[in-house]
Amino acid sequence: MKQIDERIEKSSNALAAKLLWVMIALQVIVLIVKVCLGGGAYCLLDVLALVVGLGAAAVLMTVRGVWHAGDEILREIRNACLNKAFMAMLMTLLIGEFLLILLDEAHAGWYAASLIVWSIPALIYTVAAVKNGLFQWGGKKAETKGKVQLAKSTALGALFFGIVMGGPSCIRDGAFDPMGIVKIIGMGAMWGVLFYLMFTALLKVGEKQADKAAAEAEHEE
Amino acid sequence: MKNKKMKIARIEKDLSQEQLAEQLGVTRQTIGLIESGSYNPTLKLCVAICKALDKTLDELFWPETEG
Repeated sequence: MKQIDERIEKSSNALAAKLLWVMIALQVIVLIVKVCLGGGAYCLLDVLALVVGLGAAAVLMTVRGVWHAGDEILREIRNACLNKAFMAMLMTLLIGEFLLILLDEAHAGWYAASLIVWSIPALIYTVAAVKNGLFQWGGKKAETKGKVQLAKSTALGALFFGIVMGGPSCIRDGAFDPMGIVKIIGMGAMWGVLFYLMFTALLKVGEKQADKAAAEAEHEE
Repeated sequence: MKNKKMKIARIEKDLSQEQLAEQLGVTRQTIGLIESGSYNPTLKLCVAICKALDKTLDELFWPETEG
């Protein structure tokens, strides 16, 4: 499904580079609020996310020598570095929050605050990507291939979601409960269908936006 | 500035924007934006376009000199 299109890559990098600072700002605010409310003991993920986000950005920008991006090319390289840092911080928050809530359910409320930190930039990223036509199949052939790939990935995701959500229902009073399997399939199917439909709908809108931008450019001058 | 030379070369090769895009591994819209002059491709993509259309960089991307 994924074609390497330099135009899309550059625009996505520029978008993520801006959103990294939004995510860092949100993380700092959440961290301060948590400490002020007495949740200092549950800030491990918040600190880790900041270290990963800022650390990755600093290391990558130092390695590529783009701290002072004076021209377009250096800015593009810096955006690529910041995009990687954005993704690293996002993944840290997503996986970290999931694991902490799973392992320490009693304090899930504190860990759930990370939702604010990653969901706002992720939502802005998605809306902007769809609006600017960055989120698209990129052609009929790519669409056909992409849909198959998306269906496979969705099936895996649905299975994971089903096991996480319905898995505990398989054991009741120390014995296997077949209804748990039904629950796993039900939860997985519900998530899978919703995700697939939502994802393809977003791609359809993104494709239309990209066509609109290309048509407008064609008719200019 | 529109890149009419690229559009003509593509049509001469009997390729649609989508077919050229597939050959190059980019989206159809990117080809459209290059032809309309709204996106400046990297040298790497310019070379790939030239190879796909059997043209040189000069022939496709060097601006016409004003007389």
